[in-house]
Amino acid sequence: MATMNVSAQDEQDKWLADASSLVKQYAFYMKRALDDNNLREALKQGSLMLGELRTIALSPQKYYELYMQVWNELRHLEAFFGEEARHGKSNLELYELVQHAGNILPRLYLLITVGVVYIKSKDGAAKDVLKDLVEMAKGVQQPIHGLFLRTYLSQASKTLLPDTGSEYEGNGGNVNDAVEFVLQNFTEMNKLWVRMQHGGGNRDRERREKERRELRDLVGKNLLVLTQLEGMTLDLYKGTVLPRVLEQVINCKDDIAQPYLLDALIQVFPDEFHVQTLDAFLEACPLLKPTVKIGNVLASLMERLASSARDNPEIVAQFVAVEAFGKLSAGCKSIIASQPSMDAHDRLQMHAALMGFVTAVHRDRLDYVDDVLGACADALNAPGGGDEKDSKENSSDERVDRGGIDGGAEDAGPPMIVSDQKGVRQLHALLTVPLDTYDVVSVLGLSNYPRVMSLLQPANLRQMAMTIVKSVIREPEGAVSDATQAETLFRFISVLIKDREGVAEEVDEEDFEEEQNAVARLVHALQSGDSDTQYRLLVASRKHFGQGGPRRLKHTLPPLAHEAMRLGRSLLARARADSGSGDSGAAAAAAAATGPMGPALKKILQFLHQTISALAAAPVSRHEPAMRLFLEAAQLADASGMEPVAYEFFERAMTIYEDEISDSAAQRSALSCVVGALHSCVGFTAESRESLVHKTTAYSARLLKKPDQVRAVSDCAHLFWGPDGVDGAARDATSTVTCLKKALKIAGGVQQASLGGVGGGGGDALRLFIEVLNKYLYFFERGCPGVDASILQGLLEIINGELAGEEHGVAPDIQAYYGATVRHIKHQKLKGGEIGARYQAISL
Amino acid sequence: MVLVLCIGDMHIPHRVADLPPKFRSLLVPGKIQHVLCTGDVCVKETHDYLRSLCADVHAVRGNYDDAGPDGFARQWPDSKVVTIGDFKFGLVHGHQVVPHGDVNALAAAQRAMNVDVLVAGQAKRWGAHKVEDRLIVNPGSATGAFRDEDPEAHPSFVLVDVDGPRATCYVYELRGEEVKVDKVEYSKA
Repeated sequence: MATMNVSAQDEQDKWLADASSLVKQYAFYMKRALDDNNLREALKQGSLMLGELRTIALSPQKYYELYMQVWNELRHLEAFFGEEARHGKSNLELYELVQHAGNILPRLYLLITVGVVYIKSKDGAAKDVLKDLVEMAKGVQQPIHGLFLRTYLSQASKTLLPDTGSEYEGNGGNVNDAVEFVLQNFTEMNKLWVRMQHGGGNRDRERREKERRELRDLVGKNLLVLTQLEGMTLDLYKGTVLPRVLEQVINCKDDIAQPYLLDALIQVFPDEFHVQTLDAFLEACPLLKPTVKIGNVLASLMERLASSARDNPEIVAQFVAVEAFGKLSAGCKSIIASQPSMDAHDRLQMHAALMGFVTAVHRDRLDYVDDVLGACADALNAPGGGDEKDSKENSSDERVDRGGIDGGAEDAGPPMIVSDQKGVRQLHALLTVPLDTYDVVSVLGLSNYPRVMSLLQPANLRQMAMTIVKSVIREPEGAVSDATQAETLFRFISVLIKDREGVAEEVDEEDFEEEQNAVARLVHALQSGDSDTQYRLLVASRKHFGQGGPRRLKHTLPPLAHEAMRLGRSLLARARADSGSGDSGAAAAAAAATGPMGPALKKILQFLHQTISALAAAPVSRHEPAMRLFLEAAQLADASGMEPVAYEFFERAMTIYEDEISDSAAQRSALSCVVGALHSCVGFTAESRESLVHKTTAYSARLLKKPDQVRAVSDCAHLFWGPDGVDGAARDATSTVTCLKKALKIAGGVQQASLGGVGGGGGDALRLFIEVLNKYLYFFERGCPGVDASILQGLLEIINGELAGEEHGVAPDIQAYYGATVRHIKHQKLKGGEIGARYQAISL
Repeated sequence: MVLVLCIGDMHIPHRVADLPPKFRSLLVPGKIQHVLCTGDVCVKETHDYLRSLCADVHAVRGNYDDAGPDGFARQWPDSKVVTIGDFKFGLVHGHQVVPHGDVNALAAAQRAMNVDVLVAGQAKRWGAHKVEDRLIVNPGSATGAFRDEDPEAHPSFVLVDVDGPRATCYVYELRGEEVKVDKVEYSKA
């Protein structure tokens, strides 16, 4: 096959080379005759040269090359014809003379060449000469010969048309004559072009169609000439051009010509014309051959109109005035009715273009969006159509679930399956465009949105659901503000929220993470200004997430818990503002619990308990988040005056600590969180506090590594000495001191162990002593009774002694640490005031 | 001029849906030389975003950063010291320092780390504080994740311009739609 092609190609090249060298040769003699002012000889050689165009061996492409060569040579002849003085003949005489050429094709080329000069001289009226030429060209019926001859005519006459404002207007006719001439040439060219299809057998069909496509622009150029006429007005287009072109398009009944010409018409004429002639255009569409992809043509018209509306807002009013949307959507319907075999892609493309038109032109008409979706759903036999009234009454939510069960309109077949990549993309785009243009929740509420979505195969639903999630996240806060909207949303994205029944889906781990993170982000989009509604939103979300299985819970529950705490904090803030009981402290907490917000706060804490417990029970690799959430919830409960709840939350956090956190670094980190949370609590009874503090200190003393024990136990000292100036904060100086002493004792143990020769422990112990010293300094500055200068002085002496006694010198980082601590003490001494005075008792 | 971005506590997607768009448009690749992240970025996507800003990203682990065997934060330490120009920066998330958010407790931690600038997150309030002869930078939460606990906890981050012995801190804060910038100058003793 390949070799055959190559040889055919070679053959073409050879033929072209032969013809080309002959053209060159005749042109040479022609030009020499011209130089001699020998008209007769020049015409003879010119005819011979033009005779080469009579070949039928060349492909259109090669023929075009030959034609261009001849065209260049003809310029010389034309120039000579223009100089009457040299050849001594009048234009009319010339016109008569060239008619004697023996062969019709050369004769007509010569006639056109002379005709051009004749018109330019204005001896002949443009309209008459052009009419004459366009009629005479009918004499050539070989398609390629005719097409190029007429192309020559069209090119040569382009500047000679009696167009409005042209110098040939008047005696030469007017724009109507110009239009008439171009249309006639166009019609004849189209006929020739169409006829190419019917020569030869079926065998060459593919090649022929390829050749025809190569030639199509020769035909289309006539439309370009028309649109460039100065005198081309809407009336002329509407009254003459469009009807004539459409007539030709319809009558030619050709699969290549029909879509090409309509598309050319759309592309070359201005949109203002299209707007005003939609009826005629749309009426023609169903009259085309059923095999023509007319949907694509209409789609391209709609895309063009949409883009012009985006670029030029002024045209929008025209679209509205002529009710373009109604016409276009009726046009789509009638095309589908006339082409029952149209495939799903073309149906989708047409509706996607119509959707594009609506979003560009009617940004305020959500009902149009629904119309387009409905039309598309009908066109693809999506279930849920049929009885209009019935469907409007049903809420859209039910519709998603009904999905494939409902039969749809009686006469329609089964829903068209869209599962290939291109189709899915089209469907996806159709569903996405309105989300980007209108308020997402309103779009999801449209009755036909779920119908179109039901056309997606389950495997492709995930992507669409992700698009919806992302659209909602992009909306301003509060886009989803009530439970009904939330329910609608969750139904649309249910594929992300739970596994489909009985289907084990293989989802890439990374995709799964991305999806669940998106769902988690979505939670924050559910916002209502009203606290009851906000609570209902949380409960609704919780219900849906609960069906997601353990894999999803670790992603979906934390944002829910945080939103619940957020709601709790806002209620708390209101309670404080209402009661005027200050910002923090036990009294404010108690007031919140007994005040009007109390019951709501209690409900939220219950919700938190249940949600965080579910997270704690889920099989996760890390338990810190659940523990941390319990601690945060405990602080909220404490601030809300719900002491038993706060206690329960701390207990739960500690249970997680005991049961699940075994790595020593993680334990140390977790204990800091417990201490941090408990330190700020104000509402515990002495008994409860003691129990929680006792547990925490015990955990601290049981850490695996001694240095960790020292740090954790010294941190526990804070549990007996709460924040300054907060009512209800712990104030137990004795226990603070006991705790610090305990830390110091463990540090001493480390020192003893190092003396016992365990090796390298001396530096460790020194570092720990300095750490505890700093803890003492913290409480000393706070004025905690029992932490006095004498204790500090003692500690400083121990450390100084250690520093001096270290045989191998002290590690630079420890020296630096001690130096920094001493510098801190000096700073405090210089500070003055109460603290400065207290520091005076310390000597360095 | 070396720009150091101090940022953290995004809590996406747990507490908030996204970074404020205003911040996203301020923080663009190619302008920042180092990122010091105080942790609780919570998901890999957010860490990837930081890495898109500059190649040198240092991060420490918060409570919500997945440090499990497959977690994106498994290599992150609890604290880190990074030297940039003349300055030693210490980086911690902050939950290890009790009482949480207490400047005096942070100053003690800073002495232990022996750093010029301590960058610590997790506290509700942000800013740059000179404590004695050292600097404590608290970038706050870049997403305003603690806004419900403290209505004044606006989204914030801190840019430090390190120039020889001088560090100029620009504290960015988003109030409503308006970005406020506070300047704190610090020179090494």
